[in-house]
Amino acid sequence: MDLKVLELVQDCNTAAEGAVVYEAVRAYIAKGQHITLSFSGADSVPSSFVNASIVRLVEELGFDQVRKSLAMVNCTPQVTDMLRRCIRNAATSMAA
Amino acid sequence: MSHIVTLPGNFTEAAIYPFVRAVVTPEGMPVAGEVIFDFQRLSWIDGTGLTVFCNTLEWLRARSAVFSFINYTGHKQAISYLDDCGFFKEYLGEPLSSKASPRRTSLPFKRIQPSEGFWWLDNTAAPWLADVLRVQVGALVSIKTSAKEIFNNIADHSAEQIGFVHLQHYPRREEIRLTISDFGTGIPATIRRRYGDMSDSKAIRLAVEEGITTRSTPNNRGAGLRILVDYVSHNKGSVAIYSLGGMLLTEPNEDGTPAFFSSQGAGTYPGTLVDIILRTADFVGDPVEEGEDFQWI
Repeated sequence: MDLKVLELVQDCNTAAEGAVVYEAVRAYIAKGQHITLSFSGADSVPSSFVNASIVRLVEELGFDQVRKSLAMVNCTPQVTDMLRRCIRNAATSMAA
Repeated sequence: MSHIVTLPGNFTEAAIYPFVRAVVTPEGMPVAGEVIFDFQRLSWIDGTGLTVFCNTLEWLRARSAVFSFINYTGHKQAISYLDDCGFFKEYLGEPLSSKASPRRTSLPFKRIQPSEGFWWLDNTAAPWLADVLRVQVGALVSIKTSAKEIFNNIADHSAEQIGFVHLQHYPRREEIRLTISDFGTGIPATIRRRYGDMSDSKAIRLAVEEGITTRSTPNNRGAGLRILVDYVSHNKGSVAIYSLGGMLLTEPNEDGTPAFFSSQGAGTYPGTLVDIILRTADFVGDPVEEGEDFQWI
């Protein structure tokens, strides 16, 4: 299943917008589908958005499950960096 | 009971604490129910001073204190600057001069809610910054993200959910300052609620550690302040944070990582002020590209 974040939300700035993305992706994962999530057009993504979307998925479903079910594409270097940092922080917190 | 506060002659970053000490008691309360600000000595004010002043006025208003101004009708440089930035229009209802208008070197202070801040960033601040720095808007994503982290912090931690932004270019200093302030509970108070008692300066230093989170909202996992500092440092810029009695300065190391300098301030800032200082000659910028696939580790 291909999803574009900017078709799910108007902007990628807030935790509320991240929660919308979380709900959409979570629903497809629950159906056993693999999701390719495109960040095309979203050049600048703060931590609140990532924490409320992707990190929440990782915390609820586990890192391995999300990695198997979700690919994230068309990311700017900043989006990639933010995803990496927030997921790393979550992994550290979960391991503690 | 009224109390007269004389504005500093040179209202810049260095005057923050003397000014707030005159307005805010050590207990964090307004110095009086009515505060009269005397502009007589004011000969210079920059964007940081203006943002501090406006934030403090709103902080007073939020605590039901009233304020007024005296001796502001001179034609001094500072009064003219304030008028051009819209200060008197905002607080007196009309500008002092019919010729008052924003200068090319500033995006005047604006009272914003976080949701408006995102729009302001994309549609007003980013094109202005790109023009001053002579880069594409796409090269500013990490700076935009830094400001978004602050707006989200205001949304998460400030009951009033209102802040001030001001952008100022200082061509002779080859410097741009993006100043954002709110009059919320302050970073140290939020950190102490989660991590226990500590000084304001230690709390601010802790707040910029990677992975530190107050979990102040269900979706808050922290990281925002550290990301702000890292991104600004990567662009060879500096950050100054004033919050309650603590202050933190960062300077970029040679490799673009931040060096931290925290200290206890000489007063209590009413809320939080973040000054992002970019050096136009050293600005790095972000690669303008899209299309990476995220690699799970």
